[in-house]
Amino acid sequence: MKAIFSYTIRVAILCISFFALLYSCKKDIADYTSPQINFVIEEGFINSDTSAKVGDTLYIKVLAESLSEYSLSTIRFERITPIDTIVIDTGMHVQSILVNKKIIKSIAEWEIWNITTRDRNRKASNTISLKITKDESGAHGEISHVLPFGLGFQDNNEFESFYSLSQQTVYNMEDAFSIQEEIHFLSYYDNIDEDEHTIASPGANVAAEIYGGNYPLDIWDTRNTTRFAEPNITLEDFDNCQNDSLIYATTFAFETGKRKAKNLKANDIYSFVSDKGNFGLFKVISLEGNETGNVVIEIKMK
Amino acid sequence: MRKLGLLYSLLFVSVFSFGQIDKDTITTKEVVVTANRYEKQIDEIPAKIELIKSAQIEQMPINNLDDVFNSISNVNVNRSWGPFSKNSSVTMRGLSSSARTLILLDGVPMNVAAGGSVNWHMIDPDNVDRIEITKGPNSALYGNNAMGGVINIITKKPNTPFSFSSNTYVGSFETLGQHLRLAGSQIKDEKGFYWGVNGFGRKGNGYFFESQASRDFTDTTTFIWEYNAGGYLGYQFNGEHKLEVSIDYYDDLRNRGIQVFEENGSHYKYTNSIVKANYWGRIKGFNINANAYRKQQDYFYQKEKINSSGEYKLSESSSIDIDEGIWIGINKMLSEKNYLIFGADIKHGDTKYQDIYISAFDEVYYNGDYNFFALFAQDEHDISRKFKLVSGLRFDYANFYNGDFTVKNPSAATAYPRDVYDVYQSQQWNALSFKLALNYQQNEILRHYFSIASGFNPPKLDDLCRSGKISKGIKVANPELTPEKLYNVEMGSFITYKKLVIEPAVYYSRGIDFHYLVSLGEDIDMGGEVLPLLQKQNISDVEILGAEINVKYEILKNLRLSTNYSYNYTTIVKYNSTEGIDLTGKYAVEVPPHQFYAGLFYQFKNINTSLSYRYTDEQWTDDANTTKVEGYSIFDFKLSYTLKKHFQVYADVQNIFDKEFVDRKGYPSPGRYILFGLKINYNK
Repeated sequence: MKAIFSYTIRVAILCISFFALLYSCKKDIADYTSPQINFVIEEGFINSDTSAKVGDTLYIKVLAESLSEYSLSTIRFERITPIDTIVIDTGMHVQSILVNKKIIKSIAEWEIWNITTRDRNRKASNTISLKITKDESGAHGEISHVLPFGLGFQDNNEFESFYSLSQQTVYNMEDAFSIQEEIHFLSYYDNIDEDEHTIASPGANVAAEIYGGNYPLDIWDTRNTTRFAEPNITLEDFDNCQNDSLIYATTFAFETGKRKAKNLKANDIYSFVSDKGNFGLFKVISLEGNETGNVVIEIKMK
Repeated sequence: MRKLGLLYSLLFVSVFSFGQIDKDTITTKEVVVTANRYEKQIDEIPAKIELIKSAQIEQMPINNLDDVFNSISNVNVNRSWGPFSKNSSVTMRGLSSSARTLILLDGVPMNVAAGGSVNWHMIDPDNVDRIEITKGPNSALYGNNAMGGVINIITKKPNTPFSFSSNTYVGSFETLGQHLRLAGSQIKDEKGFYWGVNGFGRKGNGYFFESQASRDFTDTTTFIWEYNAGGYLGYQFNGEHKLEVSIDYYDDLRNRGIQVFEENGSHYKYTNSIVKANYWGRIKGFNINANAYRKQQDYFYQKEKINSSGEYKLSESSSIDIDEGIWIGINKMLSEKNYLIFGADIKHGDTKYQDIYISAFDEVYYNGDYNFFALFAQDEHDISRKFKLVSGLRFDYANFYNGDFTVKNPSAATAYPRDVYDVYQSQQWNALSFKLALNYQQNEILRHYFSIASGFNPPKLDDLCRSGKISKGIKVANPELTPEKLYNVEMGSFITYKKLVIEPAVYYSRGIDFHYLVSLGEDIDMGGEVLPLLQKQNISDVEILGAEINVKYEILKNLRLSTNYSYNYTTIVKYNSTEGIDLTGKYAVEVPPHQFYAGLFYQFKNINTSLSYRYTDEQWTDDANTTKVEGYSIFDFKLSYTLKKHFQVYADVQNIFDKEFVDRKGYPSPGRYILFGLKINYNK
């Protein structure tokens, strides 16, 4: 019995020592100060609550700094309006960063901008805010109205497929290739991903088989991206749109839109925002055929 | 059934003639415990059983225990990054997914309830006494996961007062490893303590996924480190009662080949612990085996990268999975012709999962619990001297509860429009599993079996609770998912003629209500990446027509050949969804139709050597059967030399011809892998 007891004690000591060793090495937590963020006071940039007319462009500049050994990992821009909240996070790995942000006053009565930074430690964050109230003193702005025109799908010999919002012109692929910076829309019929009748942009993930030939999209140097969202408006709203109020009311943060307007049907309405800052609405007037067919759209844009 | 009969005739006719010739045969008297949950001679079990003993494991060139199964027919091991793989999946009988094969470690289920996976890294091959593989569904005894088969790993126990073993090795990719084992038994007159402690550590620098020309500053090697420690203490009260408690701990870190700013880059980390207690006893003619266990798996995945827009992304996913259970089996010989086992299993699984985005503010959490209660009984009846009938029935009741899903501070990273807090209703379901099997000992040379059995696999907690991004899109939780079921008919033969053993078998399985990802018809734009919304649903029926044949031949006294061939034709025969692509007629993913293995083992005096070849056929990697990984052939070699009884030096050369193959995500294998090692064994 004594031998048994002795063995048990020895085995137990061995096990305890082993596991004590395993758990003994814990990293010390260093002194920690949460990251800081401040508006930069500089001419041309706002740094406190203000008011602006719908469509006005405002600029803010913020300086975010880590005050500890941890790098800054993200900055969040959050716009809160009575209608919606839009959030954009940007990942990073820096000790400090200076960020300029362009704000276009929305149609909302007021909007609050919260800018938050956090570091790798995730223990604390800091937020700064400002409120922009709608200035009612000004009138609504004008819009460009592009009358219905046809965009051909990939095998259409009658209509061209590439559209420039800035030139308000439709191009064939060869011409579009030569003015890549100006191309914002393209149209095609997709039976690969079952997207069917689609309007996208050169920057979207368009299957290589759709536009092959001598100027396939993957050899373009500049591939603009336009994003799309389906606003909650009626055909009547679109048809009655004479100024920019509806366009501002239905626009969205670029990052939150989809890169394709797909499975299009007649009378669909989409709002769009390009990475070059063009934004507006288009309505699908009609659709015809598949790869050899076309889509006719009407555009109202800022 | 006609196809099944034809296939069987082809396999069987070629070997049947052996039954008529000679009585000078070798009969298998090995005993296994897995097939019946009590000890039984292999040649009395109406099922396809494989037994791998420690001496065989030592002859094989392996890095991890699951590599052993590369030599077994109808077991498919997916470990394409070799020892640098995050994990391995071991599947059987034409069924993909680790969750459809039950893995036991000394009778304790190793599949995590949350997802069914098994952490193979934590099992030390040097500490394994034998592995028992029972092929085909065995839910009538084991319940969930035992759909394709059951693999039971039984660890070494001491039979001398003191023993010590060590295995030290160095190898390719700056691999260094050390295994240690100490054990002793003070059992005298069937009474006394026995004990053991064991552990291993391994580190390696790994390899680059990208070629030198296409690397950028974020590419790094798939470096690893891992260690394991464990111990057990048992006491045998007398010849009729024994109690054992054990503990195992494992910790690792495996880089994913990417490192941007973080110390260990993108990496996986598992921390596993298992505490278990086993009791074996005999009371009034009843043999009792009971075990209680608690397992915990802490999983951590840090992912960092620079995306195509040049933006830095960093996130951490982690989960804590706790599985607990008590399994009790009681068996008794009712008469000379009847043997009965009955028992009850109680299990509980709990998962807590979180995704924390560091380069964004998003946080995603889900939780869920499972309870299982089961009763089972199996009777073994000797109808006559030649016929033996086994019939079993098991009832499982499961309860899913405490399910919830939370999203906080969403942005484009998770694509949720607002905060989410969903609480799922608890769900209950049950499963009735059966087995009916007949063993026919035609003569000393020939034995046949025929069996009909069912298996089931419960929904994974992950599929019930978790919504989030997966490789194919955005998965939406489905708390109403119910178990998959499988019905299997099979027959096989065992021909043992002199030094030749031939074992053909064929089977037909029909899987019902299998879980497949179904498109919900919507897409989400994840900041430039458009992903479809998907959900696991009980959507499809699958059909498996399979066959296997093992041939073992002792060519010379010291030269042994072991070879096998497996065939599986697994197709989706019914797909009840109108959304997305109709998968009817598509082949199941990650199931190679053909597999072949041949190993030659030679022993002369102090030299042991083996040369093996295996072929794995091409496999589809997506449900729509648009992409596949090519088939590949691998040659492995092992040579060992024993010095003065206690010392052994060895060399392993895996993938001799440096054949490069890729996994389903296109990542390359490590290629040729060489190890040199020294083993020390001491017994007192």
